[in-house]
Amino acid sequence: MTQDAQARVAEIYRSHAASVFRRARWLLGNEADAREVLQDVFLSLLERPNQLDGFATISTFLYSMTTHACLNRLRNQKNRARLLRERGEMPSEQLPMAAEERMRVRHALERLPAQLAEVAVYYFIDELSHEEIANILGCSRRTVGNLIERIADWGRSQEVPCLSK
Amino acid sequence: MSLQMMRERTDDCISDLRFDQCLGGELDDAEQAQVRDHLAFCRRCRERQTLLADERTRFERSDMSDPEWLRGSGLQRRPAFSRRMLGLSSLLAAACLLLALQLRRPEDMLRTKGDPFISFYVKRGEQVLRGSSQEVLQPGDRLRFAYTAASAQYLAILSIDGAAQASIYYPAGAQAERVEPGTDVLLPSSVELDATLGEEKIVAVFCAEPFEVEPLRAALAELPARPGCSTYTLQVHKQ
Repeated sequence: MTQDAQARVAEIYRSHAASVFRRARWLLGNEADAREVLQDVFLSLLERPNQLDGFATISTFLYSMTTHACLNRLRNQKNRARLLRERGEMPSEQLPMAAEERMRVRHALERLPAQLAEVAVYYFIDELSHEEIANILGCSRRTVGNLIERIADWGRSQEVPCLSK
Repeated sequence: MSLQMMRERTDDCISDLRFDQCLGGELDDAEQAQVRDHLAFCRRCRERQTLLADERTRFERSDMSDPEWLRGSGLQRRPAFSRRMLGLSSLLAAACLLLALQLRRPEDMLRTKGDPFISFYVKRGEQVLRGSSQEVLQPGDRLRFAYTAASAQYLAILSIDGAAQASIYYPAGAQAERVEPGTDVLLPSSVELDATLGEEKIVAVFCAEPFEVEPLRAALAELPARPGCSTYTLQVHKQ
């Protein structure tokens, strides 16, 4: 890594880290995990700055990276909590979630298939338009519309009103 | 990002991504104008903008705004914040690298490398924030400027507001003020923004030789190129 590339990542951190942290904290529900996601995202960019290639803007890249990092962490938390419960070390109501509404959304994200979970974050939480989501995913708006329909179907079948449109 | 706000949202509303792109300097002039036009009549988006700005301010005041791991020269993953311990050599390396990097804001990327430039701080009520180009400001905000220059210069800072009115922000006297080489050096005075709304351009003129400021102010709308001088322009929005 050249010093120029490192300086470039530092610039991106200065202008965009606040939004990465904001989204991570909302998605994960606690500051400690959000701090670790923030660090992971930018260390990954330091290691491989060419990850930015192919994204329309730095923000679309960071939305994608942050969403993937948070969803992975949510799934790991879910698996860890399940293992602890199976071993009798953690009662089910002890999951570390704050507001009831956010908790429902996070639980739904843990259960959604990976691709749908990513789109659900952009559409239901970030409130992005179909076009903005298409730019992040690198697909057509029609595909985004289809994915949102699948999320809504899933939400209805699983009785998750917050994802049922 | 509250579900209540989502229910109030219309198709024309500004998404968080759009706000983030705006703050990150990723929108062109036409896209920025769209954002401003929408904010002018949409209460929901103004409230969202305020929330995001508050969150950004809290972040910038936290220890996360300038983390040591970003300044470190080693790129290997380190333990998380709470478990991290850096040795003296790492701290020294990080401190050296900080000097080398001098983290820049988006507007700084537009200038020619090595040219002098200005930045500013905004005092609103009891809060003091670092400002950046494309900042949304309010009448009554106080601006205090800082400059970065590799050599001694004569400096004047002028402004042309939304009513095409040109003003001199610095210095108070008729002649441009000599400033010594330095990084992010605060100027001694501040200015209070008046009630004129709209886009405002703030132009810093750096010259190797002394110059009269008033003729520049009079011709600010068509600022002529001056030999031995460079200009640096910030744009802010007063609303």
